[in-house]
Amino acid sequence: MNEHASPNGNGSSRAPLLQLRGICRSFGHVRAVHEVDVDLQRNEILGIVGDNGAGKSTLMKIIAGTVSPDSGRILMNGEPVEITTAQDSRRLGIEMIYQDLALFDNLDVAANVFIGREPTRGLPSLLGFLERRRMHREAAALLERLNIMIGSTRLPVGVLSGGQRQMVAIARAVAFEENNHILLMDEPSAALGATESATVTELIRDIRGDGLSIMIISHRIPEVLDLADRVMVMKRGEHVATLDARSTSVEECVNLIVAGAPAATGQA
Amino acid sequence: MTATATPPGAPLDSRAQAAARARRLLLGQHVLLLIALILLGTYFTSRLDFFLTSQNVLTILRFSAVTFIVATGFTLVLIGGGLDLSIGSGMAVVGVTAGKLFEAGVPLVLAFVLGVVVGVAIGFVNGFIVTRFRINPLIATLAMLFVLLGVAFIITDGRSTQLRDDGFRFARENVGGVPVPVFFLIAVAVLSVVLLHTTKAGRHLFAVGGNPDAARQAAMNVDRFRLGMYTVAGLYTGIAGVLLASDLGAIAPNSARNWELYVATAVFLGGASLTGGRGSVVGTFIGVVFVSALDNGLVQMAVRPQIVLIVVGAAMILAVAFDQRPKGGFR
Ligand SMILES: Nc1ncnc2c1ncn2[C@@H]1O[C@H](COP(=O)(O)OP(=O)(O)O)[C@@H](O)[C@H]1O
Ligand SMILES: [Mg+2]
Repeated sequence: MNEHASPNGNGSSRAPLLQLRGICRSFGHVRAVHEVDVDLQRNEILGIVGDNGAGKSTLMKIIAGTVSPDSGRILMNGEPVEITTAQDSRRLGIEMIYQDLALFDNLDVAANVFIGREPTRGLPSLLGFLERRRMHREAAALLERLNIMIGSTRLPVGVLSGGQRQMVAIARAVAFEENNHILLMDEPSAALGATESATVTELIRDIRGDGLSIMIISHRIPEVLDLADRVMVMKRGEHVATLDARSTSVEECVNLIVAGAPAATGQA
Repeated sequence: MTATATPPGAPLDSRAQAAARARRLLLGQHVLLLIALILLGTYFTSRLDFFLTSQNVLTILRFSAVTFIVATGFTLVLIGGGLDLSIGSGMAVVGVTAGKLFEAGVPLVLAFVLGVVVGVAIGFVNGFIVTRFRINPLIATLAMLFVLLGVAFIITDGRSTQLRDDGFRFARENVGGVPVPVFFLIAVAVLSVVLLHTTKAGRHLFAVGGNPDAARQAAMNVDRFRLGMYTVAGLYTGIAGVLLASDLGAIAPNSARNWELYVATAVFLGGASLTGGRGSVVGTFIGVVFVSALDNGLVQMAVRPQIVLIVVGAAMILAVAFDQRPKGGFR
């Protein structure tokens, strides 16, 4: 099947960037994710909506490699890939921003942006000396490029506002990626006020393109319809519909979330 | 060069953040502690003619050196999100081992090294128990406190004996007017500052202690860091244990009784936190000098030892209360 695929992947560039096929995952009796198929195209923002417990976070964690599926396949550029750990997904260019952001409040902004990927000098690996100046310089340049306004890269993340923390998490996720990478965001604006949420949405809009594809879970239906290209609706672990964000109204979307099927015709 | 000028429409809270930074700098725990140390020294000097003499300062320094070495291990463990209550008993086991070996005719240097090796092994066991069996470090090292105390009593048959040969008492000697333990203090301080504050491993230790879940997501091996930090703490316990035995010139299973109190008080005063991810070598050093000076001054004012325990314990409560005060901007 893939015998004509060229080694650098260009030969299969017609296939979606990421495909999930028949993904299932249960916790005891709870079918958190059931027989889910998803396609994510290049440069696309795909919204994921659904009630609490619909399986959105679980699905995302399966792609990020922190939850393993009971069954199903994952393909990138049409080729099957094995994702069993967070390192696997990161190696494939997939970055996830968790609901709790996974920031280090006790470390400063630059340290958070570079955590785990610090440039060092001298001895190899863990015993190498941190290049602090360089990290602050590059972190400041990154924040400026992304239009993120934070007084100083030397501030501990613990003193930042919710929106600033979210933006540091996003900056960290996009800082090191080359082309064709995927950013997974679980409710990035859940804990934010309206203004901060709008700023974060603006940042997400800014960072798309350049080969960056985004999957974003959100409860704010108007916001996600505005931001995303397509919106996937989940209910009780199942993928009930995918909507074209531009031609779908907020009411239609909410109806699907509640009913699990289009209100009148019952046909997706 | 610093092209980080805030773009137009800078967020309102950047000024609040600058203020928070200034406040932290001014009211930083180190600065407050230094002021407290100066006040304490001034008070003792006014009450005791003897307090600020070079001989007494050297005594304080000698006691500080041993305390600092073990306290630095305690600090590393706290930074990485652990706790080690077994330090006093660990020092006792190390001290009696080295003393017994020396008494049996083992050369001084070899006895010293073997004592330190025992310390490293104790640290490794602590780390192994905490990471492998997932036992809360408070429980694991509290149990180790008693296990090791038992071991120290078994090794010595429960007796304290003075070593007849003065060759073991090198920790009492001065080189160029400086007590020998101070050289160990300097070595441990330099090694720890470099490790903790300039290397990737040190940065990751802060990360592991500050947010272990996030550290795992950033592909750090949290358990291996914790095993490593307990082992390094064991190394420091080993050095401190041998130095203490040498200072006392005795094989004494209860030599390091109450050291947990002095060490923990010093480290918490120095800004480390039970919640992990915070602490510094410099802070611990100031904390140790403070506690040593407090102990020294009170003893010389003929305050009863029981009262000294109460005062040091109260200082620990104050330090932890200060650490847990509500902070603006924190959850
Ligand atoms: N680690 C887990 N252990 C047990 N049940 C879980 C776990 N993670 C998720 N679940 C269950 O799976 C279902 C889907 O959860 P989740 O994916 O978090 O939903 P969502 O993010 O859409 O709110 C829920 O019923 C939840 O209770
Ligand atoms: Mg969720």
